[in-house]
Amino acid sequence: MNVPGSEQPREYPDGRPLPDQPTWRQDFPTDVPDDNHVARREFVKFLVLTSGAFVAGQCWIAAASALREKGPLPRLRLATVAELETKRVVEFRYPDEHEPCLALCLAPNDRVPIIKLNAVAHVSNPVSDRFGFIDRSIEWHPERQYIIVSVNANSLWHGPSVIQLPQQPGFPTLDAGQETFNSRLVAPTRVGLGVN
Amino acid sequence: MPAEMEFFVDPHRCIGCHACEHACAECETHKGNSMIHIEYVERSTSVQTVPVVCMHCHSPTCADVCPADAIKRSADGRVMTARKPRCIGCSNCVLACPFGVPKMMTELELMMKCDMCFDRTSTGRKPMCATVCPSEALFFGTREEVEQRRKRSRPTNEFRFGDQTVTTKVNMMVPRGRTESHLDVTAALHEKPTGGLISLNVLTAAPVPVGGAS
Repeated sequence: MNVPGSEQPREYPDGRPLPDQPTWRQDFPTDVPDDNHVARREFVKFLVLTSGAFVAGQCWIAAASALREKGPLPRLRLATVAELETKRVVEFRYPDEHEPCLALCLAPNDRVPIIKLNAVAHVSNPVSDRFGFIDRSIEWHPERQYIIVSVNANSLWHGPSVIQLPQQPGFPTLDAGQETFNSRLVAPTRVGLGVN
Repeated sequence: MPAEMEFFVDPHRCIGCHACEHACAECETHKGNSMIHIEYVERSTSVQTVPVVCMHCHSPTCADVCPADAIKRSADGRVMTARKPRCIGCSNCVLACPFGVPKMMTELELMMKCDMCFDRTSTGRKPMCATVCPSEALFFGTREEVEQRRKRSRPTNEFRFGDQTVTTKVNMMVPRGRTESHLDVTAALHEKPTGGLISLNVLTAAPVPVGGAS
């Protein structure tokens, strides 16, 4: 006994074979093997197009990065160390408006660390709160050349360091290493001296 | 090479017992709904019934008219139930099928039809309806078996609907003596059934109430 599994060719109302049928019949075949063929073809199209789009995007990013690195970083005068008192904050954006930063002076005559706020943008937090928690919970480790900004329990972000420095000559380099920070740092919404 | 199993429908042998419907509904692959139904030819004058099962056309009109590309035909020629993710429940297939087979299951928003018990026949078993049919009006076997068992009839799979000729995977048994290569369904619609007629008493006056009530 043989189960009815043998190939049975599709017939069309006009009697012509599939290659002679209108395009819509070839694109939407009713036979499962032909439909699978079309599905595989469409999937390959999707893969090729999306992969091409990713490659083009990566090339565009690389090209844009290469062009951007050619130019010198702008110089920005924030304040002198003398102007910064202990636990005073200078809020600024560097190198452009989309890169919010804080300059802190935690001890007199200390070097000025730079905190780059680029991880969490939670704009609903009031600025005073932001400065407040910095005042309350910031830890300064001059011997280790980095700071830890830890905040209260309902932190919104947990992960590797959010502390990065813009590559600007004249500022000390902070090495956060692989330290983990709990932070709900928010992007500053105004530029100026933040004194609380 | 072993002979291929085929499906044969012999309406002349149908006794209208509905066993096929109940057996089909037992199958869980279509959620208790029967994919076969019994049609009464001329119920007022005849007891003749016909089992209506999907004929699995070689050029399935239901699939051609489906706007959602939901009805597919397997490699061995079975026209399957509409694919659930695609079927939009438009009932185009129900209206277009020349044999009146597809059923629109409104509660499922899905067209369902006979797939010749794909789960059973693909493993060498007979379809449920053919298994239970007591008169073998639904027969699943080899062509040689049919030739041996049906001396007075022969199978045909060519049907004529007006100018449209439809060939099918399922065979219909016709009188062996007839020489036509096809079955003219449209012409048969206007034929009165012969044989097996019954006479019904038609009342011409209001019946007398039982019990002699005034």
